[in-house]
This record gives sequence, structure tokens and C-alpha cells, in this order.
Amino acid sequence: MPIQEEATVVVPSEDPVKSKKEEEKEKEKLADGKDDNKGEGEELSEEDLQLRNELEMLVERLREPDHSLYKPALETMRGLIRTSTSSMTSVPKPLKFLRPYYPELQELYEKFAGSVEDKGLFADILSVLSMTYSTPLAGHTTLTYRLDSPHPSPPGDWGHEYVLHLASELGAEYSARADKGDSPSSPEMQKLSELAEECAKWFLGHNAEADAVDLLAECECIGKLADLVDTVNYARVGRYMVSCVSLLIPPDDIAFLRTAHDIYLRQSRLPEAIALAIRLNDPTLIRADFNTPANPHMRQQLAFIIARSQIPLVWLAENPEEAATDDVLTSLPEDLVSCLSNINLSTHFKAFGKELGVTDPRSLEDIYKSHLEPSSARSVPAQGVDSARQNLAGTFVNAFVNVGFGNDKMIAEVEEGQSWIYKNKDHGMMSAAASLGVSMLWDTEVGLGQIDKYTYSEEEYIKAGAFMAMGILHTSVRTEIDAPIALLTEQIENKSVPLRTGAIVGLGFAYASTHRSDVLAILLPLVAEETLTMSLAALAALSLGFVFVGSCNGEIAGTILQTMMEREPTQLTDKWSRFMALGLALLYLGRQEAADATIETLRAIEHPLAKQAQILVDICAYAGTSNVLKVQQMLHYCTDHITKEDKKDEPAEAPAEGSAGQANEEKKDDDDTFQAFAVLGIGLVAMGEDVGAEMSLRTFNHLMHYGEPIIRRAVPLALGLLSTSNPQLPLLDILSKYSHDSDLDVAANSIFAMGLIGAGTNNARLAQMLRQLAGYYGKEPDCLFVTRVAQGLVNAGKGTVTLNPFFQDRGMMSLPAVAGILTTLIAFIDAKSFILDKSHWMLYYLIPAMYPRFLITLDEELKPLPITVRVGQAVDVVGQAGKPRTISGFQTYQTPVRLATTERAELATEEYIPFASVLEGLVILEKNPGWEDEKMDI
Amino acid sequence: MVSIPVTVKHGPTSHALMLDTTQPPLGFKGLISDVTGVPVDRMKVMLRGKVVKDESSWDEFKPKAGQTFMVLGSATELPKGPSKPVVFLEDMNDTQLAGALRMPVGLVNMGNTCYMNATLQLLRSVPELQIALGSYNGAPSLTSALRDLYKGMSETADAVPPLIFLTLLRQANPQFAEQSRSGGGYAQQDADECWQQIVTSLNTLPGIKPVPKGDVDMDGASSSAPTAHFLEQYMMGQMSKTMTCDAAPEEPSTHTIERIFKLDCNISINTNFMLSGILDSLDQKITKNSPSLGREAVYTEKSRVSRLPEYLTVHMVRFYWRRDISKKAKIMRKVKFPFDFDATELATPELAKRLQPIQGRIREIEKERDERRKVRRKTKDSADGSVKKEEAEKEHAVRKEEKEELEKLVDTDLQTDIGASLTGLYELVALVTHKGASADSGHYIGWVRKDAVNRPTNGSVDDLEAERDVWYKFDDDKVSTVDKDKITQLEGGGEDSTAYILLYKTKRLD
Repeated sequence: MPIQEEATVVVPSEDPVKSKKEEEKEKEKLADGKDDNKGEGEELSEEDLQLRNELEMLVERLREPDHSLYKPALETMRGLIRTSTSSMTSVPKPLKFLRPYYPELQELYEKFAGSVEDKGLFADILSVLSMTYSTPLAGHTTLTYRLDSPHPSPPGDWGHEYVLHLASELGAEYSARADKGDSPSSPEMQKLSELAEECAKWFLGHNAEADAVDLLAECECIGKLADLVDTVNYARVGRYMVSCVSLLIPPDDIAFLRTAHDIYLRQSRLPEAIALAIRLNDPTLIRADFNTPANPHMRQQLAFIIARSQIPLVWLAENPEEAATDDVLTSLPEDLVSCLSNINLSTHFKAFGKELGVTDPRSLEDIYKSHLEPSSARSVPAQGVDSARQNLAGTFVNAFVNVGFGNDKMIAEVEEGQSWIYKNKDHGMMSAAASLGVSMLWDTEVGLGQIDKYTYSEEEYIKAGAFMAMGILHTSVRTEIDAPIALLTEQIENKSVPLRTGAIVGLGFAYASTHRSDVLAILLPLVAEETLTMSLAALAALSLGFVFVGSCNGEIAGTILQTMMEREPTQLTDKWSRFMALGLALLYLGRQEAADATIETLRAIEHPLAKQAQILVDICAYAGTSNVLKVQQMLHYCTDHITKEDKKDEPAEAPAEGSAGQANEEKKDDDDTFQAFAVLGIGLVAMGEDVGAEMSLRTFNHLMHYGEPIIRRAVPLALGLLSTSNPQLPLLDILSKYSHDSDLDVAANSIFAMGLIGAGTNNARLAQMLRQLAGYYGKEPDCLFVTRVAQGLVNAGKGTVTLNPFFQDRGMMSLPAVAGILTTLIAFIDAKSFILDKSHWMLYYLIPAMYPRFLITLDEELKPLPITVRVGQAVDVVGQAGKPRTISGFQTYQTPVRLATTERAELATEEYIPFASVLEGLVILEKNPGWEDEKMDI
Repeated sequence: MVSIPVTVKHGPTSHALMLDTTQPPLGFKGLISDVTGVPVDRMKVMLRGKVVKDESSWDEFKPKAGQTFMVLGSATELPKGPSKPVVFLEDMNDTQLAGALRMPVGLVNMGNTCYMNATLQLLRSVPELQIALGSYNGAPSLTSALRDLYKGMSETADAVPPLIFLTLLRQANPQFAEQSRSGGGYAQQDADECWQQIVTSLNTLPGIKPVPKGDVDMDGASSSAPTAHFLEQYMMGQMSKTMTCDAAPEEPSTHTIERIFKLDCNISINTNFMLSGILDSLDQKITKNSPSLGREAVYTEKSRVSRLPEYLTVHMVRFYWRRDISKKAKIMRKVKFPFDFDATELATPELAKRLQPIQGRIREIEKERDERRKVRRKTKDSADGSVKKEEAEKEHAVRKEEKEELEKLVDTDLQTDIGASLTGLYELVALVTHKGASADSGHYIGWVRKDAVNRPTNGSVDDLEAERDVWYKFDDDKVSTVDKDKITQLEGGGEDSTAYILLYKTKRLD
């Protein structure tokens, strides 16, 4: 954005001393009279000489006291300047010739005795002249003279260079005054912003949208832009503004988004508008946008966008505060409800899979391809013996690979008594039963019946898993029946810890990002209950975090904070307590400064957990904003070396205390967990924007070199977060290196991160790397387990799903998706206590982030409509002139088609017009009325 | 309000029912049970986020016409667990694990003892030795220590420290207790010497009694006869040597018979293949006093093998004493060794003649088997695996026939000689490699073909063949599997591990 400004600053910065010398020379020459000029005239053409003489004459006239001559002289001068057509690279001739007289003209202007109008004209000319003369020291003379003129001619009349110059001085002047404390409403400032508006208008009319946006942003009146843009330039303005947002500091970013929203709304580009409204997290705007279109298909399209972004549907109600549940849906037409509630997601997904030919279930061997593994790994599968660990890995692989198709051969469709569930040990059964929910994902009708059978099981773990499965099944889908809350509520009160766990977690999955107050009523008492074990209380808080993600809900925040203050410190040291902190943090996901009050409150709490929570809240609040200050702050946390000596000191002081000393040591050990969160935070904050993400790679490299073990452990996870489902080669190389780290925790986390960045891509190179690792870690059960899971992730949905939380051309961030991935990663920070221990079901927290990466085109009846589309790598076209291609290296396909994270699609025919602005997910098409079939001519 | 038309959804199917709100919910459930077949006690009915319980009243739900109820529950039996619980690897103890995993264990390095560990692993791949050791109950000696060591190794999944064996070995052969010249523990030793010492110490190990054939021998007439020692049976070859004087051709050549336990492969500047190296060592020129000439004369000593044992050990003579540096230096030269080794070229003409008929047939049969395997690989299995099963049975039958046919071709003399090779054809089963510049330094690693350690019990013919392509690498306590390709890379010619001792096993008839 500031490029233009720099350029204009550079132009006048000639050496002032030198120019003065030249000036004096010229003055001397002038004094010598015409004879001297003749001598010089050899260098000038006859025409130029004439022009110079004429200008000299005009200046002479201004010196004379005859007022009547001023006006024609000034007008002639103006005419000469305006008509001078010189090349762009050199200074126009009249300006060059007038330059020596500039100081004199300035003096003349001061003493000018002519009419006011003439003086204005004079000021205008001086304003232009000063362009060649103004130095940083001389002040913003162009601007000053312009403001002096009572009736200035439109800036555009003086040419492009003049407007640019003026704009740069305007911006500088405005910020200088603002710094001095001038209120924006003062008349001077008003005048400046009016002028800015005028310039912006001119810019917009001359394909310089970026300059217009920059100028108005500098003059703090970006809002005015909405009135200035028209149908021709709105798209470029909008694109530029949206791409600026991640580089702006609050509150400018919000102002930009709002203005861009306004612009789109005025141009009736509702898909773009509602996307920005969702990004702004503003229910009123979303509701207004949603209710605007008269075209039912446009509303359906908006409903699809809303469904994808998973915003709470209560926001669409007239009075969001009063509407408790999804009652709002009853007042809407049925077709809209089905779009909004994602009911057909499963149908579309299965049809998509069928079209791609990946319906058939894959077996574990199809994924592992162990015959391609280096043979040393082959030692592991022993004939006829089941390894609980390997079977558990198989459970997850099967679940991730066959997600949503509901036909896998291990859990969903098996003969009696052959179910894979029983091939798992104890707590493994919980994950295995829950995997049924993953396998049947989104298919609420068939899935519930299947899962229900297992709720009668005698095994407590299977029952618990089944309840969790019910929740998982409903991830990102809403139904009228509302089964999860009906079925899970009574389990909350159950005595068995696994069952309660299943129910609590299930509710979190099913109602993620719904802001449902009835769920709040069920779960909040669990958080507050001090006698409850920490694990359940923390999970309840986490589930609430999911349900109320990004809501800033004060009631929940208050309760969690209170719990942190009132619970026994030893309880807060429990490994689960971090999830309570995370639950609190998720409430502020993406809400930036709205979290400040909570962070302040946390500062007052002494327990180390508060520090963890503080960082979690902070990083969540700025997730995806690429806020540089936050990244620096997080780096600062990582620089503290909590040395071993410090830790040892503590128990040495109080050796007699026994158990207390031990607890103390544990507490100390936990102390550095916050550093791991800070590392994740760097990734979380930077992930929204490519440049920031790239910069953070180097940061991570440093951390890997110099960081404490806990930091090194978190680095690969943060790398995975940066580029989910987007296996970029440099990143793969880095992770591949870390996956052979001598610290096995680092290695395991790197392997998982490899799975994460390749999730759902079927990336062959990555698959090969993982096979290699499976061989390498054949004897390390933990690493092998993670490798298997990563292999499952890479093949997730047989290559039909993505985990990337960004959608709508990477412009929007899905909050539940971020929450899900973050939760899983936090569980991996201490993998030995969670994922590699008994809480492996936490891997299912990836499910809220899982979404089909399809493009399905629908006709106006919402039936699939196959048409040809071009799919290629997305090209950043912001600020480019003309109508640049938005994709490169494309191939043409028939829809439905799958899109990778960095890919974009465009229609290959003009037969249809899409309702959506971005071809992604479900897109409704309408027949182009102007379309004529070419075949008809033949 | 009496009857309300409502929809009841059970899975993907819907039924239209009339709800009578004057009746308790149980009655409605009965209605649902009639249409869906779900027993009432396993039925869950839901309406808008609430479960309809038997005791609840309809007022709570305020059902409206056209509303959809969701019914959960299956009409069929509930899924049952497997009848017997699954036993997991993680629950097993070491012995069970060893049995289940079938992964051989490594030996702990007791301080530069990799030469011994590698040799022990090589010898362990001789199953007959295991049997012979199993029935050995002599006085405590190196032999009994070896027995105990092998027994211990088969009962655990962890690497075994061969402490007792090592101590006894050092007692019996003090040169192995030599201290490292640079200080710091025992010195590295030559694996070949270790092999020789172990094998020599086994010379008292009784052999395996012949399996009585038919009813006639049941009375034990033949079994009571003294059996040869194990070494003589399975590892010893006989070498017939002919010595002729080059200077005096008319001098009658002398014939001697020698016992050998290994074949040396001399490596000269021209040696590229193992066979040529062995042949080179069999034909030697020596100088000795000639009785007919009465002076020193050059004799040509020509040795040929007259008995081939089942297990043939080939020693690559890679180390030689360099006087100038008074050290054992290593010949790094690349010498190719075959996986399938035909020893008839080394045999005496008589033995070769006896082996000839069976060899020809074996080669034919092998070719046929290869073709059958190719055909099998192409045929696709049916859904239930019946096609594969059928084929496997067919193959078994054919192989049985082939075996019978081959048995008839075996030379009668060889048949009674227990432990002698019936075919003269060998396959590589184990080797010891050396890495490093000299015999007293570097690192020894043992490599054993998978099926030589783990006798595969079941699995189809093709699976068994596939097993042969997998090798175990015994790097002290670290055991891993490698591909056959890796073994071919051990021929030498570089800094990496180089084959030093190779153990060949004769091809069986089946």
C-alpha cells in the first residue's frame, strides 16, 4: 500500500543546496539580459525558446502593478502548463522554465494585490509549480497553495502526476495533524478529507483504485469510499481492500471490512457481502444480508455459505437474544432450512465420492501398502496376534480414510461378532465405537440407528464411544429431530466417568458453534461443580468452548474464571486443566481485543494455569489475523529459559515436605507448558496470511535450534497448523527432517504434522515418506502409532476431504475447524498423557475441521448439474490491471470436481451464471439468458 | 384432540401413523413397534430434542400434526462381541511374545564380542544342530553352554547376554580373552577363528539317529548302532587329495582322504566369483621332497570333495598377515557369491556322477514351479478365497508327487548317509559379514534367511517362497529384517559390510 507514497516522496528530494546554486546561476543569467540567453539558445530549440520567452513575459507581467493584466497572464500561464505535452519521464517544459522564478512568484503571491479570483488562480499555478520545487523542508507547499485557492480547479485537470503528489502530501499532512491532536471534525481536517475524497474520486475514475483506498485510509475516511465506487471498479476496490485487511492494525481492519461489505452490498454482490459479514462476526449484518435478496436461489446460495461457515443459526432470528434454540428455522421455508442445516451434506458427499470412483471402502493394507515399506517394518505384523496398539491405529486409519461413506469393512459393515471394535483393548474400544460416528459422518438418518445398537453394549467403553459417536455424527449438520441433546443429556448425569466423558464430548461435537443456550444449561453446572473430577470439568468447559466458539459469552467465561480461582491448586495442576483454559480461550476465537478484559482477569490469578490460559486466550483471540505484534509477544514468551536448576532448587529447599515437595516439582515441570502454547500461537496467528506464514517458518527454525525441549516439541505442530491440508514441498522437507529427531516426542509430533499438512490430499510423496518412517520406527510403538494415524490422515476421505479451516477462496476461517485442530494439537503437546495414553479419542477433534473439498454445481432445483469447469492454481490478482486470469495451469473437468487448498475453479462455459462469487462447495447455477448454443448454428 | 397424523422416521424409511394423545406414550410405542419391528424395550422415540419416555405425558411435547418422530432401535439382534476374547501383544509375557512374534532375538555385545554374536547367529540357523543340542546332556562344557544359550534365546523377546558361553569360550580358548592393545577391554577377534573353535568344541556332540524306516527297524537294531557325531553328519565334508609330481610324471600319485569342515575361498587378483576362489584353493602347488627324484620338487595337489554335507561353510579368506606392518590386513576385493550354489564342480567325478540324475530333474522341476507360480499370481481370487485355496491344494499335491519322484532318483549310498547332501545343490541361508579394515577391528554382523530361523508352519506355498526373500540382520542386540537385495550388496568392494563366512544349506527334495 505505501509504495505510491514512497515514490512521490523520492521525486522532490533533490539536493536542495545544489538546486539553489543552479537557481542563482539562472538568476544571474537572467540579470545579464537577453544577450546571454542567446548564447544559451543554441541548446534550446526555437520553439522552446519562444515558450521560455513567453513565460518570462508572463512573469514580468505579474511583477507589474497593472491588475488588469494579471488575469490574462495567469490564464495564459495555466493554459501553457496544461497543454504542455511532454513525455512522462521528464518535467514538462513550462514547469522547467518557470522553475527559476518560483521563489519570486512566491513573493509576488504574498504581495498579490489582484482580485480574490485571480489570487486563487495564482495559488493553483503555484501549487502545481511547487511540485517541482517542494522539498521536505519547505513543507507541503503543493497542498498549502491548493488549500489557499478559494475555487481550485479539479485536481485531475493538472494531470496524474499532480494528483499523486497532492495525495502524498495530503496523507502526510493529515497524519501529522492527527498526531498533533487536531480533531478530525475541525474545519481544517474536514477540508483535508474533502480534498482526499476528491482525489480518491479521480483515482477511481483512472484505474488507480489502490491509490484511492490508500489515500482514504490515510485520511481516516475509508467509509466514504462506498459512495464513490461504481459497477466498474467495485470488484477491484473490494479485492484490494480485503487483501489489505490482514496488514492493517485495528481498528482500520474492521473499518476496511465494513466498507468493503458496504461496497459489495450496494452492488448487490451478496455472496461476497455475506462472507465479509461473517468475517466481521456481526449477526445484524449477516441477518440483513441474508434477508436482502428477493431471488430464492440467491438466498439458497447464501444459506450454503452460512452452512459452510457454521455460524450460529440463531443469528438469523429476529431477536437473537431471545431465540434459544434453532427455532428460527421454523419460520423459514423448508428448502432454505435444508440448505442452512446441511442436511444434504452426506448425500452430496456420497454422490461426489461415487462420481470420483472412491466409494468402495479401503482396507488398512490399501493405506499402509506395507509391501512398499522398507522390509524392516514388515517384522511387526505377527501372524495371528493382535497388537492393541496397532489395532487402535487401525481404528483411526479406518475411520479417517472411510469418513462419511458409511461403508467401511471394519466397523460399519461387518458380520456379527466380527466388529473391529472388539479388536481393541478397554479404552481403545471407546475410540473404536466412536469411529462409527466418523464413518457415518453427516449421515444422521442411517448413522443414528447403527450407533444406537452399541448403546446397549455391556462394555462401558463401547457405550461411551457410542455416545461420542452420536455427537460426532452430527458435526456441522443440524437436524429437526435434534437427537444428540435428547440422547446425551441423561448420560451427563451418569455415574460412570467414561460415559459422562462420551456424552460431554459428544455434545461439544454436535453443537459446535451453535451458541445453543440449552447446551449451556446442561454443561455449565459441570464446570462450576468443584467436586467433579478435573477431567470432566475441563472437558465440559472445552465442549462449551466449542459450542460457544467466538461468542465472548460472559457467563461461561465468568464460570471458568471462577473455577480457576476457587479450585484447589493441586487440582488445577491436573493434566486436564489445560483444556479448561482452552475452553475459555475458544470463547474468544478471532475476537481480538474483546478478550482483553479476560486476559487482565487472568493476570490476577496466581496459579501457573492462569499463565497458560492467558496465552491461549491471547492467541485464540488473534487467530488467523497475522498480527505481527502478537507474534513478537509470543516469541518473547519462548525466550525464557526455564532451566533445570530452577526446577531442582524447589524440592531441595523443602526436602522434608515429602509429597508436597513432589507436587511442587510437578507444578514446576508444568510451568513451561505455556511456552508450547506460545509456539502454537505463532502458527495460529500467522496462518491466515501467506507472507506471515512464510516468515514464521524462519522463526520456527530458530526455535528448533535454540529452544527448550517443550518448545521443540511444539514447533512441528505449529508447522502443521500453518499449512493444514496443503503439503508444500519446503515444509515437507523440514518436517521430514524433524521426524528423525533424536527426541522421540519431537519426531512423533513431526509425523503427526506431516499427516496434518497432507490431510485428505492423497499426496504420493508424503505417503512414501510415511512408509519410510513406518519402517524406521518399526520398533517404536508410539512413533509407529502416530505414523499410522498420519497415513490415515493423508488418505482421509480417500482424498475427498480437507482439514484446512480456510474456505471461500481462503478468505474465511471456520471457527469450529480452528478450534478442532487447535484442541488436537494441544493434546499432542503432551502426547504421552493424552493421545498416546488413554485419551486417543481426542484425535476425533479433527472431525469438526473435516469438510468435503468438492465443487458441486446445482441447478435451480438443487439437483446436481454437471458442467465443465477449469481448475488450476489460484493466482493472486489483487491490484493487477485489466482482467487477469485468476488461475494458472488449469485443467478442464466435469463437475463435481475436487479442489485442493490452493486451487481455484472457474466455469468453462458461459452457458450458466453462478450465484456464488467463489466456486467452492455447493454452487447454484442459473442459465445465462444471453447464451446461444453454438451447435444451433451448424 | 384425539388423533394426530404424524410421521415416524426409522432410519431412512418413514411411516405415517396416527398419534392418540389420550393414550400414554407406551401405546404409541406399541404402534411404532408394529410398523418397524423394533421391540418396545429397545426403542427410543424422539421429538424435537427430547426423548419420549414411557412415563412422560404428551403435554410436555405438544405434538402437532405432521411432525416427525425419530425412532431408534434395530429390529434385529444386537451386535455381539466375539465369543473368545482377543489376546493382545501388549498383554503377553516375554515367552508368549517370543512365540507370537517369531522374531529371533539378538545377542548383547559384551565388549567387542560381535564376532562371536554373529557366528552364534550363523550357527543357530542350522536346525539340526538345535535338535542335536537339545538331546545333549553331557558334562558342563562349551557345548552345554551353547545349548542353554540357544534355549534361552528361544524363550524371550529381549536380547540375550551370552555371558556364560563367553566365559567358557575364553576359558577354553584363551586367545579370545586377549586385551585390546589400546586398552579398554577385550580386543576384537576374527570371526573365522571363533567359528573354528566353536565347531571344534562341538566334536563330541552326538549326532542325530536315523529315523527308523518301516516296521522292520522298529526293534531298534539300527538305532542301537553307534551313530556318528553331529559334525561328521551334517557339517563335515571329505576331501580326496591327489598329489602328483610335476617334475616326474611317472612318479605314482598319492591319494589321501581328509576331513574338512569348511571350504576356503582364496581371493587373488583374478578372483571375481566365489567358485573360482574355492577352486583356486583346491588346486595348489607345493614343494616337497620327492622320493623318486630324491630332491625337492614341485607337486600339484588336486583336491576334490568326495562327500558333501548338508551344511557347507565357505570361508572367504579376506585376511592375511602382512609382515611389513605386522597386522592382519583385509582384502577388500569384490567377490560375487551365489544364492544358489552348485557344488558338483568341486566334487570328485564319482560323486558328481551319483548326483547327476537328481540334479537334472531338480532343475526341471524348479522351472516348472516357477511357471506355475506365475500363473497363480495372475489368477484373481474369488470373494471367499476359494479359488486360492483350491490352487494351493493342487500345488501341494503336485509337489508331493515331485518329491516322490525325486526320492527314487537319490543314490542309494547317499540315502543311508545321514547328513550328506543328496543333491549337491545349495542355497545360501546365513552369512557373517565384516566391516572395517582389519580382522581385529571393525564390526561383525550376522545375516540369516528368515525361514532358516523361523520354520514357517503354515501359509500357502507362495507365502513360504516369499519368506525366502526376507533376511534377518543380527547386529548384536538389534535385530531387523532386510530384503534379499541387501544381501547381494555384501559382496565387498567397498567400506561397507563384506561377506566373510557363508553358510550354504543343501536343497531338499521337497
